[in-house]
Amino acid sequence: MNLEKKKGKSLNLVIMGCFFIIIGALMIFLSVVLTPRISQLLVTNAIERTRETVLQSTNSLEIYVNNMLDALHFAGSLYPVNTDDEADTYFALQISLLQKSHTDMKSIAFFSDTGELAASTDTSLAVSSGDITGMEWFQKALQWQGTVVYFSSPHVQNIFEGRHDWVITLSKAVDYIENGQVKTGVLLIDYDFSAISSLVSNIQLGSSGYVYILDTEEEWIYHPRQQLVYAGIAEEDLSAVRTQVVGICRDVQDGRERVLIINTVSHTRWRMVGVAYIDELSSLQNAFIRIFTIALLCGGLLSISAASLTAYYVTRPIRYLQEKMRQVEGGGLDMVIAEQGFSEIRALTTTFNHMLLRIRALMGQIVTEQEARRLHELNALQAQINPHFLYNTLDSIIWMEERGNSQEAITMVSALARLFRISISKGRNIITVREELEHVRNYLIIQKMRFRNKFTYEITAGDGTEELRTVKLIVQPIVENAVHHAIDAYNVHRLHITVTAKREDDFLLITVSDDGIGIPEDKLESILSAPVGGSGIGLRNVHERIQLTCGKAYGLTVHSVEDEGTTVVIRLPTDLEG
Amino acid sequence: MRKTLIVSILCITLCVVLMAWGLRAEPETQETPVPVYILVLTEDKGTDIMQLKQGAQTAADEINARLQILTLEQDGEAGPQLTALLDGLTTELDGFILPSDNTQTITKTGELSIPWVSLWAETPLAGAWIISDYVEMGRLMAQAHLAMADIQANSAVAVFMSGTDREEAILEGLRAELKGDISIYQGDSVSEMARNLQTLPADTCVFTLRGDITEALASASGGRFAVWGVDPGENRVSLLEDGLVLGLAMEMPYAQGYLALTKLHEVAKDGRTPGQVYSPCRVVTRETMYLPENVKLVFPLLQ
Repeated sequence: MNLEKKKGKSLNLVIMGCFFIIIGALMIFLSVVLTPRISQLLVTNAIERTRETVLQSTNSLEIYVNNMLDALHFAGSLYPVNTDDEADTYFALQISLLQKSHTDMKSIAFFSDTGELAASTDTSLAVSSGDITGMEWFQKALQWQGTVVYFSSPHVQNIFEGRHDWVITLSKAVDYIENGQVKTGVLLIDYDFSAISSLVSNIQLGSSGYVYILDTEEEWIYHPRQQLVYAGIAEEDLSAVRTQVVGICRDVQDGRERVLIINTVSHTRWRMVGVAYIDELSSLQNAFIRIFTIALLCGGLLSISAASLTAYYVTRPIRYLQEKMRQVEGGGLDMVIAEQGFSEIRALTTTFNHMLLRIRALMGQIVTEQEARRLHELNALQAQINPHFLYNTLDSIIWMEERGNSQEAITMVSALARLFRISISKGRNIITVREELEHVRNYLIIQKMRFRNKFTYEITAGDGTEELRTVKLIVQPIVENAVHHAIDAYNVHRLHITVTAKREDDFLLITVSDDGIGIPEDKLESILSAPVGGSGIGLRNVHERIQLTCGKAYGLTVHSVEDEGTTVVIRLPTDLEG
Repeated sequence: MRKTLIVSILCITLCVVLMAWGLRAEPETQETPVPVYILVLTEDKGTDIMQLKQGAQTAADEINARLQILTLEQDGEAGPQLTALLDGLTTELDGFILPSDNTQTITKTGELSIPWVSLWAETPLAGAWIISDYVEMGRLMAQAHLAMADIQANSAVAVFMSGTDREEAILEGLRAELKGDISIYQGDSVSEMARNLQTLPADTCVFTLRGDITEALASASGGRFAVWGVDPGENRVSLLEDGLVLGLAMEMPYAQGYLALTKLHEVAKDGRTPGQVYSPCRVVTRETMYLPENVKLVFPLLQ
């Protein structure tokens, strides 16, 4: 029977495929779900850090502004309520000391309500009192009546002779009494603008980022590229900043996305704007993405390696077992496969080894049985071709011929010929009951003719038994035993031998009975294990042949009572196939 | 087994190479060499030079470069000094900026193997040269003059100049805007020009095309003439505030410094040769000198 080799899925590939699916799904999940979130988080964190930097810068500027205001209020508190020359001189001395203690103070001056210079750290005015009263810092200060301090934008102060300092001007109205009249003058302090510009210019927001300050009129208080913007070389788009006082917004300038962080400086209402470039803030994000991508790729490569190795090591014992089975298939039934690998594979190997053992045992059993069968058949044949039997029979034939009993000689020759023909049966081991009984009949014919008064016989076949099958040459040896007892010199009784074949349930029973002296009990026990009688075949031979062919449930059963007779029952299956 | 081992070894090797490359990429980024540029000056004083340096420093900060200032001795040839300076440098130099008064000594590109740009003069030997658009300067001066409400349309125009290429370009711009006759007074002697000035009719509009000529003639005019001039430098404020000049044409040294370094970076790193690059200029009057777009030009905020 040819078994087709059917190709299924390779376990190796299945294991590797499972690895790839799991790792691939994980990589996709990390890439699609986690990476954008973490990237965004990194950018958000960077923006938050930038915002904090701008906030700290705003706080620093506010502290400076508060110090400026404190100094202004302090200077204002120094001005005498009742002015006279002595008081003014004392005031001038005090503000001079104040200026010396503040290196970023360029000048302190007090102007009367008419713009006259009352006291100053620099008394050389380059402008007239009329010009003073027309200046914004003077007018605003008077307008706000000391409740609000005027904060100017950075400008060149040109009211003092020979000086053009870049300053931030603070001014406030101060009441005083002159000649009994309450008047309001204006206190002015000019602060060196470079202090503020240095503070702001040192703020670093990435490598390209910067900070600028706008006043309420959207004029720059400070911008690191102010001159370049005015020269038309650089640009600064204020559209995103215009609508916000505090907050974060984004815009695009020169093709680069920017984040703008806006804070308001208290007291001045200046807006400090921190400009940071998203591509610089994203450097960490880019680094993360690069490292993450490398990690994913490495993970993928390692998973391929792990999958490959795992698949190999998992399937190696299977492949080993497979190879050994192939050798067994090729005829190596004697091998014992070493157990190795996982417990399941070991169990499989153990089971396979047991199977091989069983196969070897069964094969040995078959060989033994076939050998025994062949031996028994040979013995049976040998019995039939027993020289003594043949010689005696031929001798009897010659004697009959000499006596002129041709008919009896013919009968004996015919019976002999039929005996031998059935014995050979063209090599068949299974013949019909009819043939087996015919064989016995011919044997008995010959023996009867030889030993006329020694025995009688009767052969009966029940209905439906003659076409049943039986093992060849099993009845004659039993009958032969009975015949031997019959012709025994010590036997004086005329034996009657009965051979019957009947069907009982699923059994074919062939019974050979005689009314001889029986078999002693001690011999009866071992009768099936030793040859009895002169022919040498023995009941054992017949019994074993039957069992070899039909199974242990079949064979001979010997019943014997001394001095009464012996019955041998041959049990056969009714469905014996030959 | 062999196939499995090969696959595994290959994958592990690729993994190691990938990790090594990935980990090296960061340090390489951080260790990117900073370009070093030098601004060569013949003098390191004055607000214009200060602004030039500030503008160059701003550009250096933007491109993450390092800027060094080298001042040549005023006595002696600039070329040999420069060569000696370059030879004596211990750090690797990526380029330098050279003022025009020294570029004339550079006759062969072979003398300078390092990228360089020139300031204030057309210098085809350099990768780029930064100059003001003097023709435009002349046009602006003329336009500002014509915008004056009290200028008579048929007023006489006199131009005082020494005849340099720069002045010729300014004159070209003036001619483009001023349609009437222009009297040209060209010479080397400023005092002679001042004497010539006194011979002109009082309603003559005077254009002086060089800083020292402006200063001298403005003082000699005493406000009698409508004088337009070119930025004389330190005394510009008094000339404007005192009304001795109606307006001054001013270059923008901060922008020049910025452009010089920016273009030098292009030449050094990208191999581009932008050639002539105009820096902007402006005409400032007494009325506009305190405007936000002009005030830092007139009163540089030096840090």
